[in-house]
Amino acid sequence: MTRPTPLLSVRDLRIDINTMDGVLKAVRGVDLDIHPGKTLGLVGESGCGKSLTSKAILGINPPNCKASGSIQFNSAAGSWDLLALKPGAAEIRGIRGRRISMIFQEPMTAFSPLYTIGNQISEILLLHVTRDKRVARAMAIDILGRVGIASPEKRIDQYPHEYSGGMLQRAMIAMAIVCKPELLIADEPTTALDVTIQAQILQIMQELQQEFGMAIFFITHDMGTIASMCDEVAVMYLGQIVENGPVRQIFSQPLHPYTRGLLASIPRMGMDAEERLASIKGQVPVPIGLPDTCGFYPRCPLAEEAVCLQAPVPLLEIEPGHFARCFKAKAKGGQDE
Amino acid sequence: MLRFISRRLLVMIPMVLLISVIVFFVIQLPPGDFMSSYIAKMEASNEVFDQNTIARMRAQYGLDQPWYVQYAKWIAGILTRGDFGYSFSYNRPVWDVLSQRMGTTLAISLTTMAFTYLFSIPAGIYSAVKQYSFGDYLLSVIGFLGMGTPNFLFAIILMVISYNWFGDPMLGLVSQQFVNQPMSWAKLLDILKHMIIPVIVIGTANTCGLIRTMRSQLLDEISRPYVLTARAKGLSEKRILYKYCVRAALNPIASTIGWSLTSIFTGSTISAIVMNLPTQGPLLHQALLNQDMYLAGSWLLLMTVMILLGTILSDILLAWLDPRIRYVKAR
Ligand SMILES: Nc1ncnc2c1ncn2[C@@H]1O[C@H](COP(=O)(O)OP(=O)(O)O)[C@@H](O)[C@H]1O
Ligand SMILES: [Mg+2]
Repeated sequence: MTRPTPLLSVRDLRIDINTMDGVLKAVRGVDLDIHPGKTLGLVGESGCGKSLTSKAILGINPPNCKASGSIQFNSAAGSWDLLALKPGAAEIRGIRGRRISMIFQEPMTAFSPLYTIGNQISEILLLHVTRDKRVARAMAIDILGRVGIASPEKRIDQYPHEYSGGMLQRAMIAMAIVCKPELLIADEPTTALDVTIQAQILQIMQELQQEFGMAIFFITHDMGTIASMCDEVAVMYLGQIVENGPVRQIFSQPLHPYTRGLLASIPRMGMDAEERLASIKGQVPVPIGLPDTCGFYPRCPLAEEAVCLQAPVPLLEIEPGHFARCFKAKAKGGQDE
Repeated sequence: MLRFISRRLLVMIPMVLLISVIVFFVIQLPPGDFMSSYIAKMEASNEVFDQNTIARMRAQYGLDQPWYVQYAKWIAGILTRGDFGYSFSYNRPVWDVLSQRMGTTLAISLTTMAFTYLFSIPAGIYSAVKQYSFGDYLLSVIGFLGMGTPNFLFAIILMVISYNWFGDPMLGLVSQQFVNQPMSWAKLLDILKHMIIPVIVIGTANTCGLIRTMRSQLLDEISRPYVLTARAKGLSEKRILYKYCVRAALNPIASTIGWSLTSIFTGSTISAIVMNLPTQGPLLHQALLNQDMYLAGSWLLLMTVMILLGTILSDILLAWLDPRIRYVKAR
């Protein structure tokens, strides 16, 4: 398949964390492509390494997290291997917030309580876009209005504690897009919010994507929100991508047993709670001293020692553009094999 | 903000009055009064008083009246004439005795405070930013030693060192040859020299505590989610540290700055005695021993006012530093 150059290509990203119990292999060879103006979803249970992967793009993981591999960023302003840039140095800081920005899970704690929302939004503009405080303020008011905050000219001078959680997440989105970045990373942006507000936030993100044309890297542990948001999906388990492909194919024809388990856990009408909870048995192991073979083996309904444990499983292209890390995955048309 | 401050000051008035009653009541509680302890002392040196003289002197000082009458007279004197009563043991008005020492006390307290905050806040920041570095460990060791060593012992050690190296233990606040001399550059220099040891001794205990507080507060702040947001915006580490973290970490320190004002004022009594410093602490100590009740009462009353003013000062600082507090107060 010929596609345009991706905006962001992650290749063989590995993140090791030194802990008291040994080296925690939190991310184990992740490949991802994010295309301009498109949305890539990254889904997986909590603790599988989604946040570490996304923060590695901006180089904002704590110093005890050692990353290797490459993260190629092909921006309109130039190309960089983000992983090769020195964290904290001027070059990567010029990319952060300006070309790639990020919103986080907990809007209530993501703003500093000590400064007004206006101060914190203007700050990013004064850093990257303009030196004029009045211009920055006008832009901040404008962007707050666009994310659906009523009377932004008043709200701009309020402090975070005067905002509700949903409004704070709107303000967070406003701050993230005000410099018109090419890529927006959203790390579980709705997890901490009420269900009704979740839908509004997702809608705003989609509207802004239409308007500004940025790519979105959308991270969630909830398969349910993926379908409406994403063009492509990567499913992550224990620091690895186990399935990767266009959203329609993943939903209509999941190849990896883990993806099937996640899909079965989406609440549907007429489904009772017990049925849902039973979808994936067992627990996620801690990734310290694990073998290289299939990480899902202990929980897998299809597990078969002779097939599954013979070697590390590569990410196999089962159908064009649709990959799975499973020896037992078969394409629909492949039944006659 | 102005309304907030004036309201706090107004509330202070009944509080001070109430505390003054309690203070006065407690001070006159021990059996006997200044006269009886005075007579006991005199009798120890074989002087004899007849009952009449004693009664006359009691009446002269108003000691024969019930305590609430004495209190009413005393407080009325303060409010109408600024008269804090008479110090029996000094034979002078209380205000004279207090104000004479006020200058030295304030000089030492304020210098110590400036020394404490100017040193410990940067040291705390350094310790947190360079956590587990050699400098951090060094500051910790010095800090715990400083906190663990009793002040009076520390004072003696420093005075011995000073005596051995410079031939002068730096007792008191001025050298002998400058006592009763008018102020001059030489005298000022001498006073400053004498303040080094007190400031170090009285300041270290506080300093070490403050370094620890600043360090742990700052470490707390550095790991907060808003720091990640700020980093993702492209801000430099320095800016994140000073604009966001340090300011947030200063809150708990600001809330205690008022107390430390008074604790420096009073807590240094023992060291002041050891170092022979003419500050307020030893004065109260003596006044209580002698049952010199107007002096003791006035002293405690002033202290109350200082503590309350300090608390208000803290509140104002906090409200200025933290918008969440401002918000609650404004309602
Ligand atoms: N700073 C850290 N120190 C130690 N372990 C960490 C650190 N950050 C993350 N981890 C561990 O790495 C794994 C992946 O974390 P994360 O990427 O935050 O997961 P999630 O998919 O929920 O976002 C988890 O097991 C987590 O406990
Ligand atoms: Mg996460």
